[in-house]
Amino acid sequence: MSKITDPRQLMIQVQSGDELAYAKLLEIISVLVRSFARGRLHRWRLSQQIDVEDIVQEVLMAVHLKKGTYDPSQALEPWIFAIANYKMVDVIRRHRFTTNLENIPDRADPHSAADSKETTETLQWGFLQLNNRERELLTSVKLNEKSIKEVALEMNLSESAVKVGVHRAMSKLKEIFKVPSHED
Amino acid sequence: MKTEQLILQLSTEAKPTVAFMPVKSWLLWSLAPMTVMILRFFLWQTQSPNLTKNFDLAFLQETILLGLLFGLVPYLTFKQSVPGLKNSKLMLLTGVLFGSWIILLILRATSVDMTEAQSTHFSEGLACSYEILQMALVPLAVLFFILRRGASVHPLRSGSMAATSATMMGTLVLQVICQSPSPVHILAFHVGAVLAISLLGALLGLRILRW
Repeated sequence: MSKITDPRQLMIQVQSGDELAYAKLLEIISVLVRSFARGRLHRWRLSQQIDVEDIVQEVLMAVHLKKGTYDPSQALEPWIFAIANYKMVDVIRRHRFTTNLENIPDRADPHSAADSKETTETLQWGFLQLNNRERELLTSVKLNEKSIKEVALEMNLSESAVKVGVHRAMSKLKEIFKVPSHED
Repeated sequence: MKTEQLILQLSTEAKPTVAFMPVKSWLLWSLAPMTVMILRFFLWQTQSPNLTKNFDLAFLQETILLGLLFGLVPYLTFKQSVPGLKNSKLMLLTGVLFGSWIILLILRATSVDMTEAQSTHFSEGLACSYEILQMALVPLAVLFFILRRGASVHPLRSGSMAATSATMMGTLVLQVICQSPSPVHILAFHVGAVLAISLLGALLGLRILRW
């Protein structure tokens, strides 16, 4: 096992392909980034929403991909923290996008959805994840407010098949948008 | 996946790394605009050198500023692709040089009489802008290709600076060969082209330089 503990020296060894030094360096980086990210998330009041380990893993991946950009004549910490900061912003941005999806109401009201362009686009995206039949059923029953009987006649299906189809499509949509239940 | 598992997995993939060196990359990239400039003179000459140009002090000052910017902007762009490097002084210097170029032109534009200022034709102006764009395309593509090996933590800024770098050779060439002596023409069609391409570069940077 590599006896060196100075991260800069370890990085120099890593750049020449030393596996043990790399494991040790990644361990040191994960400790540094964990405490950095924890502090930042606390300051930005996001520690409840975002898992610190997500950020640590993103940074480790980034270090792995871009280790060639480290200049051994410079200190290692500014390089790591610049990457950590960049990746943190990415994780937060992604989290905000996911949160927006999660905030879509359980029963989408077509009129209020039309008011918000963003919600409409997200719903459209969700609809595209369904198959043709599910999309058709949901559009007829939930958006065009047709009766189960009407839809069954139109699509040449039994009423119970329409009900089951709509239920399945709704469950699939909920899964796509990952709407948490109240018990969670 | 747990972080410990990830560390274990990544460490097994350790192999010698090819270092990204800003100075080396900068020198290597400089070959692209130089080649384009040589090709421009021998292959696709659209404007002939303006031998009646007034090579006065203002011309000299602007040309020196452009020459400095041609060296500095790409160097700074490459330095920006290394996370954690401090570039604030270099950035300030570049900003001052770029600002000085524009201020010099504005000062000259306000001091010329309007008949001279209006003497520039729109079609001639567009030809200059088009030529700057034409000469910037290959250097910009090469620059983005090299920059993707780096790790810019400011993709928007890097993209914009990459585009500015790519336009500098064209602007420098046009500074000498452009038929119009009017500073208004230079402001509108040379500086304007540089700024428009920089804006485009910023948008491209956001897409291409993210990692």
